[in-house]
Amino acid sequence: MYEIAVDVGGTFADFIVRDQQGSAFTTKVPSSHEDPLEPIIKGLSELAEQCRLSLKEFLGQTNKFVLGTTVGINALLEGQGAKTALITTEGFRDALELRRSRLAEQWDFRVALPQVLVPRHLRIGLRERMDSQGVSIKAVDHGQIEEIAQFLRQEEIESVAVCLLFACRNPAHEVEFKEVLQALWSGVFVTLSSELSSQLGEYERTVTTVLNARLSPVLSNYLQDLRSLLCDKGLQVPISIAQNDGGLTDLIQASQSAVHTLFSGPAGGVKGGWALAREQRLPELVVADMGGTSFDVSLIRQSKMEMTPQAEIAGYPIQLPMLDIHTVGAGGGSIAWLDKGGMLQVGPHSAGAKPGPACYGLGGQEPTITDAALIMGLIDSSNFLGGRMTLQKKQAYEAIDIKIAQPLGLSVPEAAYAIYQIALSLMVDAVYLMTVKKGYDPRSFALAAVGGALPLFATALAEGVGIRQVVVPELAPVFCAQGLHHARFQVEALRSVYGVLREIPSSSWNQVILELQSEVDQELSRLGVCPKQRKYVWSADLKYPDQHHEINIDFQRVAADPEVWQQLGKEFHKTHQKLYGYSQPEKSLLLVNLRLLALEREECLQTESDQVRIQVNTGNPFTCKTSKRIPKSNELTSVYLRGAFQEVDIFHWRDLYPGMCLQGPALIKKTFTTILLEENCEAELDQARNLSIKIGKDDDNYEYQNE
Amino acid sequence: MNTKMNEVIERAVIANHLDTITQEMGYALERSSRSPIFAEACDFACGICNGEGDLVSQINGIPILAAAGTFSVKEVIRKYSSEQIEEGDVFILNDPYQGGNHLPDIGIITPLVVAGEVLFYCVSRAHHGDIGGSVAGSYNAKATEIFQEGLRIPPIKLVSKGQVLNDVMDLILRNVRNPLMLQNDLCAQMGANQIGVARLAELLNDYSPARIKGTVEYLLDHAENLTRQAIEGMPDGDYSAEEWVDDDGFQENPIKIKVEVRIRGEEMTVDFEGTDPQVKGFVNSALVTSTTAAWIGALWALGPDIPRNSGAFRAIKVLLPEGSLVNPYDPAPVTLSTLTPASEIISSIFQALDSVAGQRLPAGFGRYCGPSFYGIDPRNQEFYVGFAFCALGSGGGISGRDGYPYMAPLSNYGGVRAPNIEANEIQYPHLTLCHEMEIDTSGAGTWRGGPGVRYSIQFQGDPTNIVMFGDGMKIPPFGAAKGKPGSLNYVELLTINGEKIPLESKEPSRSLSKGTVLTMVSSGGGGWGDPWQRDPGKVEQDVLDGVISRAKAREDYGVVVVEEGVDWAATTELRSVLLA
Repeated sequence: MYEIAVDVGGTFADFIVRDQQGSAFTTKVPSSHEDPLEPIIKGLSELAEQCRLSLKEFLGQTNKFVLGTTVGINALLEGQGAKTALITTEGFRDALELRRSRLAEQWDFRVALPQVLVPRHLRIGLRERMDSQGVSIKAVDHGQIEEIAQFLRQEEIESVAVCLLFACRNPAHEVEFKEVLQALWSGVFVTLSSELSSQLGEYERTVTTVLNARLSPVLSNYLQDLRSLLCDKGLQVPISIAQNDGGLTDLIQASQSAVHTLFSGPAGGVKGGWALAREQRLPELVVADMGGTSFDVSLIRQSKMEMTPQAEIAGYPIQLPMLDIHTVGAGGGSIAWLDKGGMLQVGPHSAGAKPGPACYGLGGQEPTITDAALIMGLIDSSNFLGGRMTLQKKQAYEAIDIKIAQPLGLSVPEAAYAIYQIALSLMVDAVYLMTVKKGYDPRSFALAAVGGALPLFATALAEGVGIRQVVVPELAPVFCAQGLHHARFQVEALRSVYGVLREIPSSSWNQVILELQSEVDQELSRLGVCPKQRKYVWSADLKYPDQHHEINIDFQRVAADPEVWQQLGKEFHKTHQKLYGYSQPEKSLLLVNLRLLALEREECLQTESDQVRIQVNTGNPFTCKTSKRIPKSNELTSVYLRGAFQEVDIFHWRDLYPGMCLQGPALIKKTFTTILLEENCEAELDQARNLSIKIGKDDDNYEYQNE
Repeated sequence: MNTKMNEVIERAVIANHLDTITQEMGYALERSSRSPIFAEACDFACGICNGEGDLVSQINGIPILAAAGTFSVKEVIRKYSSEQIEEGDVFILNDPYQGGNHLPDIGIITPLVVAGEVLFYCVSRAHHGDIGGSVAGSYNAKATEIFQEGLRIPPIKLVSKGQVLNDVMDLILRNVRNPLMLQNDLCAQMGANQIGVARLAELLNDYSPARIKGTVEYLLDHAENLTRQAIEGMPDGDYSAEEWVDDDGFQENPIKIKVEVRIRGEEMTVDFEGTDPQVKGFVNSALVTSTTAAWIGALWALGPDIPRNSGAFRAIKVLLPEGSLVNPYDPAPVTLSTLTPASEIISSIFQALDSVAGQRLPAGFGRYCGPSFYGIDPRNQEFYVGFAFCALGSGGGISGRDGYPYMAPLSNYGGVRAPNIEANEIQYPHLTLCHEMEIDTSGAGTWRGGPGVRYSIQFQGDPTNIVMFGDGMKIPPFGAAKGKPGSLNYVELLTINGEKIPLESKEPSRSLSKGTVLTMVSSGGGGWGDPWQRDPGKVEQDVLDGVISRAKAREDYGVVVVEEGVDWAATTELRSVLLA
């Protein structure tokens, strides 16, 4: 039997299939804008061929099919979506358009804000009101719902978003509206804000609800088409879809909650990092991915993926907990330029895929990071993108010479090196800020280098941040798809509590605990996860009473016990001190929300990582000095590092075998990527064929930060 | 080896890293502070100054606080000799006549001392909910001296060699209405600075103090060069304008701000000669606020890509006549200054430079006008004080797009974050009845202003006290390039007896009984460009959306909208008649 994972991205669709023996086959197919289903069939056919089966046989023998999709986010970025009406509390129909006045770009008045997603004449105020405690102070006007239903039909509305004030405290009015509307107009798609988020803040909740209303019908159509196509071709199991939090859901749920899948693909990458962290026993891991246009960072900490309570995309706030992925405009295509004061800058503008870097020879005139790497000798002009493209060194040279080197009075290699270093500093700062702002010490992390361009920067990036170990996974080019393999069903439930932690009556605490438990269990049962496979993570959002932002603290015991609360408080003060430079242990704490995350256990992974552990435990992972399996390279190349060209060894990934050790400086060439091993680095290929790199020769004062 | 190359790299790397550190400070401040004006509304700024007090890097925050950091640090340096500034010291100040903006904004300054010398100062400035004085919230519309506006803190030490000076802290906390909240928020400011100082110290692992200082000097020169180049790109000439403040809360007459911007080659002088003398009420603007307003106003005209640091500032000369509205003598009251006249100083520069700023500048913005409210919260019997942040006015149109609704006044543009209605109702004892755009308030133009906002709240406290402060009830946001002005601010009370009482923009404290409804209709922004050139399709959409009435569509835009949409024949005829 086979398990298939597909990550359909903006430029490529990545595929990976595993058989029962754990062998993996992969492929990469260009995405198609015109026919989004075509590349899926093409990729699956290629995989079937690799397994020496017909497509029908191959799909028939598949027992798991996981999808990461960009359908939702593409529709969002292109301004597409279902024709949507928005129902709000009467007197508040403009929250969507009024926004909150704060701007990302305040020094340029010309910058336009993102489009208002529902025009004003399709925003309707409903006569009803909940107060701030969640008590109804004005009942829902049923007569008005009849008028609304008529108006919506007349306007040919395809989707209805409902966000009423304080529905996060009490969803009754929203639920009532939906029931009455659907009784009048059966089958109309309605999204309630309370189904998506229990967080306070009507602006962010409204945007989240409207996005879901607009995008869900689009995603739903796509998934229906995909399902019937795959069924035709022989697939007999349901499709699972990856969500923003790295968990899976089924087609029914995904079709109603597109906003949960906006970061479906990138979530696979974080999940891949999480699996890698477990296999490599690196509980603290920075997952860094550099592609053509951007540099993305996420964190694994204490073997868990780091979440954020809300995120922003294209200027729209999304009020949902999701994996925390930070993006900086520094990718292979990012443009280097001199500002009017003659200072060298890199990004955030990108030359994209067309015209692309100057060295693509497609008419690009601007020097990019890729051009700099080519001039430095880091990449091979004849073997780019696995040999699919030949790079024009002359064009790269000229672009850097004219735009950067001559104006600054530098040689072209010097200018290229400066571009490389400045791009590097942007990445260093991004990783640094991502960790320190959460109170973590970046030096306690290891770095996973994925994506086509990052391995050129990985050892230098690690060194800049103070990281001592880098891992380049064998499957780096299809890393997101590979991560989807590890994704499992996952549901989260939340209740807002709003009480002083120590004063909450045991009975209400117990009731909330019970409610959360039954809510997640119900959903997991629907998804077919049996009770034995379930795992629960409890957490509490706490703050000092007059504070505005909460901190999320995990806890183990759920009993209504003062000791449990005391322990929660202790953790909170400790974390606060770390994050903000002070704490006030004498103060009482406000419990804002209780959360329960329920996950399907990853049984097979457990054994996988046990195996790896046995192998790793047979000795120090860095055994180079004694094993002497240091291969000789008979290939040298000239690379510009630290102010001069120097000869370095070239190795080919395909020639490496487990246990083999390499000393920097060297370049390791792999299809779709090249790894730069700096002078002070040692690398070893492990049994799982991941390349483990140690930065710095002196490991006396270094210890693993396993907790 | 490759000294030049290393220099190129170092400059960009250190510049990026300093910005990263200020971001981290800003993040810590926002997440850990308590008072709503600070944490929810983000009314704060933080940055890094060099040993001379020149601002090198700062977060994007409240524009009118942009330069305040450098003034604060320079006042500390003026008062304390280098031997008196030691590792572990923290300074505090708020006096507008000694490095501050207005009294509610407290500056906290933490030096990084390396080998007996200050290499950097981390500085944060934040608006606190109350700083004492005659009225809660410290916006005292009837103050005639700064002493009635709150506690004045000159530059003094709050922490000495790592020890909090409790006598000083006690004295400050004893003079404010929300001592616990203030104490917590001072902790947040000191904590953020501490983070900044620790990160800056780490820079010393990679670079010597001399190299860091050299690079910082380069970054300041670089910003100055960019500014001078942009000035040179504008044609030489004298550009002048007048802008007006409604009144000062005592006299009825508008107060004039006169500006002349003189451009000669790469030199720019912003001269306020001819501005009216200082006034009795709290709309005076002391040196720090006036200078900052002039700098940021000019930089908005010069371009978005210039780093907002002391290098850029030193390329723009600002002349403020002594004893005038924009540079009053101590002890004139100044609390409103960061809103009005700071925004009007900026808008005077916009009007002066509009013709030469390459269509970078918008038409007029709404002015702030709303109350502070205070009393005992009936839900917990605790004292509270709050502000009507949800009463923001709207933005002016600009070449290429309509103005946005619900924008902060210019002095706070893009920096203030308006609270959600839900957060507001949890915070304060009032019920919100309405928060929606108001029809026929936007200034007409090819690109119209953003519509004003109707905001109604019903007070639950018994009594609730309100103090009105603001402007823009007489002078509307200006129209630009033949656009029309926006609408005026309007505020009224509806008592429980059904009586309607219009309020003035500047009023002393008024006690309201439970159930009273306060309604604020904020200004629509000014229009940009001739309204007769506006695309009739856009006018039709505005009518459909209830933003413009059919009558206004006809009157202001010459567009006839009927049930089915634009009546093209009637529109063409109307437009041709009126254009002729």
